[in-house]
Amino acid sequence: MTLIRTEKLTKSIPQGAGRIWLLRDVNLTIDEGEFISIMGPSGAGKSTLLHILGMHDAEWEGSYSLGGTRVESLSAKARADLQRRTIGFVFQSYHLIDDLTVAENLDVPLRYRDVPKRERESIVADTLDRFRIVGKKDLYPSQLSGGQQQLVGVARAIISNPKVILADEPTGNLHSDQAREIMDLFRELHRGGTTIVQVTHSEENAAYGGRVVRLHDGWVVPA
Amino acid sequence: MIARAIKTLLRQPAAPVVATLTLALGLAISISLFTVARDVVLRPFPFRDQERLAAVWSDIPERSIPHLELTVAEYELIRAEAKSLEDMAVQSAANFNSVINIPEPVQVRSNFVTRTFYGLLGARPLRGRLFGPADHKANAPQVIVISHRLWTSSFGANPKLIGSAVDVEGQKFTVVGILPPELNVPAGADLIFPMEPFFGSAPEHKHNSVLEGIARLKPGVTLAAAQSEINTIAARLESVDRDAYRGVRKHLVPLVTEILGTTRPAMITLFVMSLLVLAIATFNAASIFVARAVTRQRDLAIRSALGATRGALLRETLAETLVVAVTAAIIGFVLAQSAVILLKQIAPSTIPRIDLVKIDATTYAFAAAASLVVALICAAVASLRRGGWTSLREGIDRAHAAQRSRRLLLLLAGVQLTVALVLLAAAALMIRSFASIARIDAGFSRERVLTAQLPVPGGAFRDAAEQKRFFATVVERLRASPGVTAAGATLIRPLELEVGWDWAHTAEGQTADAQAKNPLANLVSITPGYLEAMGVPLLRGRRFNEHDDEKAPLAMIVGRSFALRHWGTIDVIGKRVKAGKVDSDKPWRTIVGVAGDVRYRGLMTEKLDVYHPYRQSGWVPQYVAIRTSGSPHAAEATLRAVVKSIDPRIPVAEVRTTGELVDAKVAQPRLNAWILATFAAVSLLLSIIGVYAVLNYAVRNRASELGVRLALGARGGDLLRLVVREAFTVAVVASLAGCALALLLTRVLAGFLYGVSRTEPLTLAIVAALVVLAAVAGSVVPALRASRIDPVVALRDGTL
Repeated sequence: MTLIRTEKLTKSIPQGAGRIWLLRDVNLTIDEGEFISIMGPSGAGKSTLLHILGMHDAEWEGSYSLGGTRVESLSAKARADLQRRTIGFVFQSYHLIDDLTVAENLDVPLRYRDVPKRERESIVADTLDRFRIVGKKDLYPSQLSGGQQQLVGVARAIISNPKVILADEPTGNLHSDQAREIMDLFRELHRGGTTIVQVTHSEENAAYGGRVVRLHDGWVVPA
Repeated sequence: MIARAIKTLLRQPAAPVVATLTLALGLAISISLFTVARDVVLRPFPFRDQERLAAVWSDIPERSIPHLELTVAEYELIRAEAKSLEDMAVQSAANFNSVINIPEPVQVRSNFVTRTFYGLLGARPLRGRLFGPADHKANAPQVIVISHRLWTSSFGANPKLIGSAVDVEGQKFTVVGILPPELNVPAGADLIFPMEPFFGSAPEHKHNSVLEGIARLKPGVTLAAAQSEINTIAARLESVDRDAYRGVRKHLVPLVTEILGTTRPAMITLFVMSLLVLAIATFNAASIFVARAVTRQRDLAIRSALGATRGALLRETLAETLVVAVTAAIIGFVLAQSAVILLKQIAPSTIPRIDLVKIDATTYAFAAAASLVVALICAAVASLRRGGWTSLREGIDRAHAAQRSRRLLLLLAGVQLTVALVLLAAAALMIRSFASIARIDAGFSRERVLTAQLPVPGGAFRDAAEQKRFFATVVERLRASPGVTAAGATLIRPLELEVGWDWAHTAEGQTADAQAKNPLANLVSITPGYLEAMGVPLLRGRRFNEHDDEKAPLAMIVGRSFALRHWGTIDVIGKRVKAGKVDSDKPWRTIVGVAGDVRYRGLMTEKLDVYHPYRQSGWVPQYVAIRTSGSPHAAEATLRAVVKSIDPRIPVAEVRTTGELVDAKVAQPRLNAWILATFAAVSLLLSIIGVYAVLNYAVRNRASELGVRLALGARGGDLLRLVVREAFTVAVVASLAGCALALLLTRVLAGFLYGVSRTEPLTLAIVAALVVLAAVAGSVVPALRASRIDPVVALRDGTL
């Protein structure tokens, strides 16, 4: 069943008298439960596509439907609601909030989804347990290694039970052992039924997924 | 280094400009208040060894008399016998009016001083000489000393005035000396006579309290010791006249304290408050420097790695803060000059030496010192962050630096809000106090009533009866004038002086013990029509009329409090009262009316009023009161025409509406309230700017985090609340701290407050709410900016 479908998705930004094209006529279909990797050289539009899919960016043309809902027809509020219900995001540089503990960082997405406090505490406790980071729950990000921070980043992305995880070069800042650990975690999540879309430069990481979408100069190019 | 600092500041001028203007405002306020406080209260008086000078006065606690002047008998006895004093001198307790003809008649405030008065002070004349023993002999040539004010205003500062004769009420007096401008003693007097030739040492006047005393203590003698000796000496007078001296206690108060009165604590308090405003401005500027330090941390970290020492970096910071502080001091100085001029214009003339306030070298020195301290504080606070990194990598990590600085900046914003709350609380208390004073019912109408003094020159009339007839004619003609609905004359008008005619009395039926506890009543001799003209309500009985003359039974009208004090009711028509003690042979007066209470001696001074018909009183009216149907000012021309038509020798002086009489009394509390309100408004504004600057900086540096939050599902409103909540939390903590501090610091205001408690929870709650509101207002723009953040840009670039 199709979860994500884009048709003629185009993104450009003005520069001088003309425009720069970041994405051009991107047609993409991702089924529920798929694990795909978006690859391409720097400046190809990978992160731009991921942010549009994550609904962080609303200025594009074409069509994008998520779970059957046409995103372009939604109001900003409805789009934000859809994002909260559907998307989990993992960043290359973790982006944990420095002055919150591990447990508090995990709590943030739940708080923004208006989950009652008692329920949040229970979900956070389960997630800490599931990711085997209970012992780190009161530590601040600066007290964790890069791998541990990304582990928390992934935990934070899945804690609200999203339909799809969008990961922007999730191992870009990690050394190989830590990267492998994170990718194993993605595989495990994928096996559990989560749809995963990752942006990566690494063929090794791409191999964890089932399909590779290649971008070049904003175009989707044949694999 | 300074040139480089200027270049660096100009590269990104917005923040330094805000810091400069903020500091300029703070410095302007503190410089102007420093100048006023220094010249009014801190500058030494032109007295020799002023710490050995004391004012001498009495009180009678058991008769609720808080301040009583000395009698001639007391002065003579103390001066002759006190071993702890080097000398003692006196002046008249109140200035009186004289008319000098130069050649047109001009009314001037005058006073008498005893022969050693100026010598005791150690004062020196500006020109000529001050009084010597020869001037005080009975047949000595008639001489006067004049004030610098009169010399410049009426004699054109003529240097040849010394030795020339001036016509004072028809008699020639030789001007022997001119007082220097800084010597305003007796206060407000422009014409000073030697006392002894006029001195009422007749036995019947020996026990009247009419003198203000000053004493010079012998070296090494304490005030307490001298006071104790004087009390022992003065107690002997009780055996001479038990009633006059029973329970009288003498007080010696440092002369400077007596002259300055409540002005000293008021000025010092205002100066300290102005320093608090400067503190807010300094913390504000320091916040800006901290933010700049973080913004430039990468640059500094690299320079540090290339060999710049910590000291070198600190010097650079200091150079920048110095440039800003000195520029601010120059702007502040210019603003302060205008503020001082404004303050001198709006300050009531009752503030001693206010006319002498001027900006001079000390002011420059204060401005320089203040700007240096401000620069050092800003540099020190900014340097708390600079060099606070442990590695180059950490040093160039702006987000990390921003995170570390945020708490410091929030602390600085919190301190600003705390201090602002203290100032707001002080201002609120002073404004409420002023409002309470302004709301006092003075007992007479404040609208459409004109009053004026008709100072009768000595020798103008043959006797008191002729003088009374003059006033009766004036009142009669005034009543017949168009636009005048009522007119009357009085011995003293309300709020004119803090002293007056005290009337010892006995209510019929009182025992001697009860009589001894009677407070002295405030005696006012009035013509018919006076109470109507002033709008004093009649509560019972009747007003005086033309039949209350010398032949009629002695009548009196009493104030409401007088009636209640003696009989517990205002239904006292027909009751009788006489002057003096129970066994006095003075005739009984019958109460024919009860009037509303009037605040004669001060808005906050309650006395028991008694009115005597002028034709049944030894005291001659001096003032007239005119009620008008239109503007009271229009009646001035009528009054002048009427007086001139009756007797052109009599000047019309001190023309005031009753509204102006009240205004003059609320001028000082109003000024205090205005100054503090200005401080509070400025500090609140600076705090809003401070909160805005800190949160704006924080939002800019938290762009990445805010982007993450959006990516994790935050709505714009969530981010808006996040920023506002930060301001709210800081403001709530600051409010709690501020309230505690305000409770502590507003103790110094207790002496200036009327009708309001300094610990009143409502006032504190309102100012705390204001502070929280100000902080939230300061956070609105940064919060809106946060709520509209572009998550893609924020996540990619870490900026807005």
